[in-house]
Amino acid sequence: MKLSIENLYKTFSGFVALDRINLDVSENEFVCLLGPSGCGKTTLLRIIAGLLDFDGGVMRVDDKNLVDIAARDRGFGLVFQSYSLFPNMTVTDNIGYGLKVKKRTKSEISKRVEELLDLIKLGALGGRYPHELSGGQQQRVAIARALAVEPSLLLLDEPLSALDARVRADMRKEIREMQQRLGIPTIMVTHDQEEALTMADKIVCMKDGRIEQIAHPRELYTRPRTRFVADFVGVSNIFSTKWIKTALPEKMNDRPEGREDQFEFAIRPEQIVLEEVKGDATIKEIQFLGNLSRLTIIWHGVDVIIEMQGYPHFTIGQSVKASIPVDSGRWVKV
Amino acid sequence: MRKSLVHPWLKKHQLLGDRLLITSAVFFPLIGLLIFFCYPLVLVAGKSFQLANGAYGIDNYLNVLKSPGIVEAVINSLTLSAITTFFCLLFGFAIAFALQRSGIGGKKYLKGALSLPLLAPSLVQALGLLFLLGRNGLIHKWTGLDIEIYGFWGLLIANILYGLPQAVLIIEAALRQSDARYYEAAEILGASRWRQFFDITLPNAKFGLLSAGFVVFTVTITDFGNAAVIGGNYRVLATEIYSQVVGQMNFGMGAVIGIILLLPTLVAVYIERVASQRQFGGSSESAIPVTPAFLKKRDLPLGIFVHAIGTVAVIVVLTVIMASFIKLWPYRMTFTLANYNITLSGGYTPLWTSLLVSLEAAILGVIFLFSLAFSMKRIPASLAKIVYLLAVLPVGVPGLVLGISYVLSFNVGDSALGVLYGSSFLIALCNFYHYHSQGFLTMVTGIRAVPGSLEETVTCFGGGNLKILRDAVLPFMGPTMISVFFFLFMRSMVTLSAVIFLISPKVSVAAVSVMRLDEAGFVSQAAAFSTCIMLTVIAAMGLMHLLIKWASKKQYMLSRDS
Repeated sequence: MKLSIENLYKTFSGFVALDRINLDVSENEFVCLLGPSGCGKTTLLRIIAGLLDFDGGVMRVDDKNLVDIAARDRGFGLVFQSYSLFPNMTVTDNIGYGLKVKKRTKSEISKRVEELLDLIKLGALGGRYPHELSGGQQQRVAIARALAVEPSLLLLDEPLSALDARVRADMRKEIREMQQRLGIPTIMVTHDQEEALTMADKIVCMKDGRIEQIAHPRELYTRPRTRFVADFVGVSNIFSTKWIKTALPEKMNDRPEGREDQFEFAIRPEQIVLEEVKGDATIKEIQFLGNLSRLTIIWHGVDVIIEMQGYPHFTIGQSVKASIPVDSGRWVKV
Repeated sequence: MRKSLVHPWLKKHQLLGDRLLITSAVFFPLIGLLIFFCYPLVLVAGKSFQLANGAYGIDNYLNVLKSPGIVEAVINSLTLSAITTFFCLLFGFAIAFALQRSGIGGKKYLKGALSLPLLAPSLVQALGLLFLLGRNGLIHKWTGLDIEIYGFWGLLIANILYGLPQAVLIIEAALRQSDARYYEAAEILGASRWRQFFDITLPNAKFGLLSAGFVVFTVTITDFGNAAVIGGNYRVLATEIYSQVVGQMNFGMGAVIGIILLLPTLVAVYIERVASQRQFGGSSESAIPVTPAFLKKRDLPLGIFVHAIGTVAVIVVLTVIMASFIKLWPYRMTFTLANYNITLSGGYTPLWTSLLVSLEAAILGVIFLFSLAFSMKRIPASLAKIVYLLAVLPVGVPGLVLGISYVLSFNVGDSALGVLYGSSFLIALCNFYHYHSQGFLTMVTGIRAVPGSLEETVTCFGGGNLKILRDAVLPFMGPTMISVFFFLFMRSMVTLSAVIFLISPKVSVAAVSVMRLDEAGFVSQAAAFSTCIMLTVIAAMGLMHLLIKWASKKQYMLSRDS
């Protein structure tokens, strides 16, 4: 099973919601659509589900064109942020719902529901109603309900956003493990970069209806291609070309060809090295975050954020020497 | 490659049955609206231009302008409605404010007292006033005072009592929306209580007041019951149209007055719609409701004032009930059940007819309105817009106008439409279309509360519209459907203005019986009949509360899932 999307285009009464989307999702892959609200990630998911139509482009599963297949005939599983369990059905009935619609036999349904209740570790709660479950439990039931029909593709729309921080962290692991065990290709929408970084095989970073970068989480973090990605995924210090020319002229060597304002230099706060000798930077602010400390320094006239492990003994106003190791930092497109 | 598909639901693989379901869910209610609402109205408009000799012209309008009686009635109606509206807003705001924001006692009682007028035909207020203040009233008997209750003043009091509950409901809703944080902010900035009232409370209730004003105005200008009983020589449009059509068989004139009546209501409805649309966005979902506190200086006088009004409402209705058990009010005050032995105009048959009519209207209404509301999202947007407009149009048409349009459309012997005339079912249809808009809007609001993701879940599992209906929509719609059912039922039980034109010697309804009994001078029997109607409606309301409780219990998680 392979989902491929080519040049997908979508407008809402004149407003371009998705522009030239190209994306492949292959067997066993966990793909995250990541971006700020309004970037089109949910629209894309709903188009894949068949709940929305698109205006141009091609969307295929293997060699079937999805344009001709209605949402109800696609056989995809969908999980919403709001759980969307049927309030008047028990957990068992909810999980078995899709199979009932597909007119499977009773014994077949109850066998499958039992398997899934075990999978989501809610074996004893089959007779409960949704309102008698916690948020995390409800979301597990929603996932089980989607998995019950053995969907060829699992679509998750911000499934963890409504949960508490602790439950969310547990569910991340659980969903990821479940997905790998069952080998179901999965697309998840999220605006939480940490969620995307920890769960995905591939992150699709979106902005204003366009894909900014598609990459493995680690690559996305260490090698952002655009200023937006550098800024949205993690924290970056962004320097203009003019600043680099005066402060770090050696970095100009790997700068791609282009106008002055076409590229900027991005570097992660933990990559900058500080030495306790008089130099070209001054400590402006020190923030203690527990396992790390975040310092703001003034370096050649701009504020720069630095993060370091442990408890450094700098004082405010102290003059220090800042440097960027070779191979750290990256030129990004503006 | 370009594909423009409006709805994924309507794709190729859709089952035939699915399409049939939606098509018929829109088709039948729409046909109903066309035949039983649009066609009669168009006919009235046409008839108003048709002269006695069959030719067409504007002579009817000129005649109306020339006839002093009708000009007087127009002026009277407008004056009366304006003054009624003013007092309803004043009292209504005081009561709504007392209920929502003050710490006065007896709020539940006050609410109950104010809903009394909704349980009975409008003429019960007038009857009660006659028993109290009329020539054969208690006050006259006790003090010898001669109060001229027939005419403007009686009509004004009766109309205020009738319009007040509706005004209170709307203003209360507006006051409920407010956010406590505004008041906290004002408090911290040092604003006095009066300042807070004028800077926050009043501006926030502005649209509520506006729409309450229009509702009261519309209800008053088109009300028939009170005018018939207590109007005396004070001629108003509602009674004028009745005497033109029923008394003098002058359909052309009747149609003209109908059209005239349509104008102020249409304007009122339009302004109200515009205003209510602007109100959106005023309150946020996270608003913290204002908690009422007891302030002696404010709440003592306020409490006395609003309870005095409530007491008047209770006394008027109680008087009617009491008088129904009295041998000869107010001279021989001995208990009797004789008044309940009603023989005139068919005895109790009209009450059973009313019950049947109301059930028919409510059942038909719930089915049609639910079908329409459910289909709105599933038909092309342009069609949905037209359906919506048609569905909310009836609110602008006074009952009297609808009634006369029914006479013109269905009192025809030679066509298929004439078959219905004189049957209770036509009265049911008339009542349903009379209250179509309110029921429809309630249904639409209810459907909006159904989580869209639940419907999409069904779709993703391969379920069609029928399954969406069964598994995602209906479990959420129970309370809404019950309340629409009883709204239509209760209104049908007590309405008079439209059905007054549709009754025949064979088929009549309860509210008309009360009027006939009063006209014939059997005032105590009219009171007895009114009491029976109230009892029926109260029983229906009790049943509704029980059913809603039971239905909401089944509605798990609704609040969690939005």
